[in-house]
Amino acid sequence: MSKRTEQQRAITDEEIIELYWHRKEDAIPLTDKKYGQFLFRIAYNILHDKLDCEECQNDTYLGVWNAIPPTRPAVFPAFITQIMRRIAINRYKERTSKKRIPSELTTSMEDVDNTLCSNSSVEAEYEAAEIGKIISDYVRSLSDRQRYIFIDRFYLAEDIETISADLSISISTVYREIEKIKQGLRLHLERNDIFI
Amino acid sequence: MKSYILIDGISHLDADLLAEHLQKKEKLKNKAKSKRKFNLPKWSAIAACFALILVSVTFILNDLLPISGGEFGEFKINLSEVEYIGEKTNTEKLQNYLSDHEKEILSRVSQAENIGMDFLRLSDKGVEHVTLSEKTNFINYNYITYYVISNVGSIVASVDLFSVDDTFNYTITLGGPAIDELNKVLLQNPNVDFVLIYIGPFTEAIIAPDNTIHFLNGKRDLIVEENIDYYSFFNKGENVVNSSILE
Repeated sequence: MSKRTEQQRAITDEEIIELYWHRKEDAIPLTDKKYGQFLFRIAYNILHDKLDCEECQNDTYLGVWNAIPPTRPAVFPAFITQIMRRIAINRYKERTSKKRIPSELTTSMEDVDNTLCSNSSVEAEYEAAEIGKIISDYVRSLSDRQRYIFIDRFYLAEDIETISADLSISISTVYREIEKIKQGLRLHLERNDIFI
Repeated sequence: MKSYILIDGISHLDADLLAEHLQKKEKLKNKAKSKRKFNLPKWSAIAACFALILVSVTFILNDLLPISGGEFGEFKINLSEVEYIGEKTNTEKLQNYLSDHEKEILSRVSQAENIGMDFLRLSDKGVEHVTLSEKTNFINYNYITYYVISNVGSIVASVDLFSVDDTFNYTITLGGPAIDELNKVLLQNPNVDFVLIYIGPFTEAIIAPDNTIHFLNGKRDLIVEENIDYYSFFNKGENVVNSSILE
């Protein structure tokens, strides 16, 4: 067993949070050791650029440093994932305002996107939070497998092959499930008077 | 820009859903890792079971089926296990051993069968059991069977004489269906020479010159083909049992 692995296993999430809480700078390298690769992957799925991903990682550690305290996350990996995703999406928006880049993020939402349109950017954040609640309700109504696929594909922007391998199902099954999820999501949003 | 609202909405997914998902993802990843990992104890156990089954099957087949070799109809007879005359035994040495142990042998049979020792004797002639190696044609001397005869002219027991280094050893088989059958056949055919064949463990038969086959034990159906002269095939000139043994 490598020294690195031993260290990773030795440190718990609670201990890392405690370090952040007490403003100990060790918290950042320890977070990087434990979750660096994982965060990089999330960013890479969205940005497809190594340099951008590394910058996003650093921004995420800074974001976590600023957030704890006062926030004390219940589930640390979920907390840093949320931060990383938002930072990566913001970076993505910046990049796409300049040029079109390929990403699993837009590919995954293309079909739904065709059925929805936006007419506002001012209240975007408020709307996003509201939509987030409605989407969460929808996700809770899904089967275990569909829920896994939804979050993996639309939140973590994982590629189809990875999802298929994770769940030990065929790629075509993943596609079929995604299609059903998209249709269901569209209907759910419309039922809740969300016509973006 | 229109898809960003939805993407941002998804970014606001409840943390508990995300936490649950990450846990599940981690579990799946670990499961996949453990699947990929070579599990030495598991595969050792499987290999051991496989070897055990293989050995068991080999033993069972050896016991139940005759070993392949000469084939007669459906019944296979291994030529290497058929009686074969070839190896010359040091007769003098053998006779000396028999003389030394005759009383001992007859005493044991006498006690076991409750027959007075004076009413028993050892046959003068023994039937040789030798094996012929199929690959090398090298003949291995195995043992010679002598018979303990009662004064009424029937076989009471058989004595298998083994060669052990420079001397011999023996085992006694008292009575039993094989000896009963042998007695029956020899008494009913007093002037006929039979070839004794050893087919396999606990399976012997005698064949008359007219190719009549009598199984002494381990009775099996033998499909006799008319065009095969079994008697000549197994009779190598001397390896016969006949009524003279009983005389």
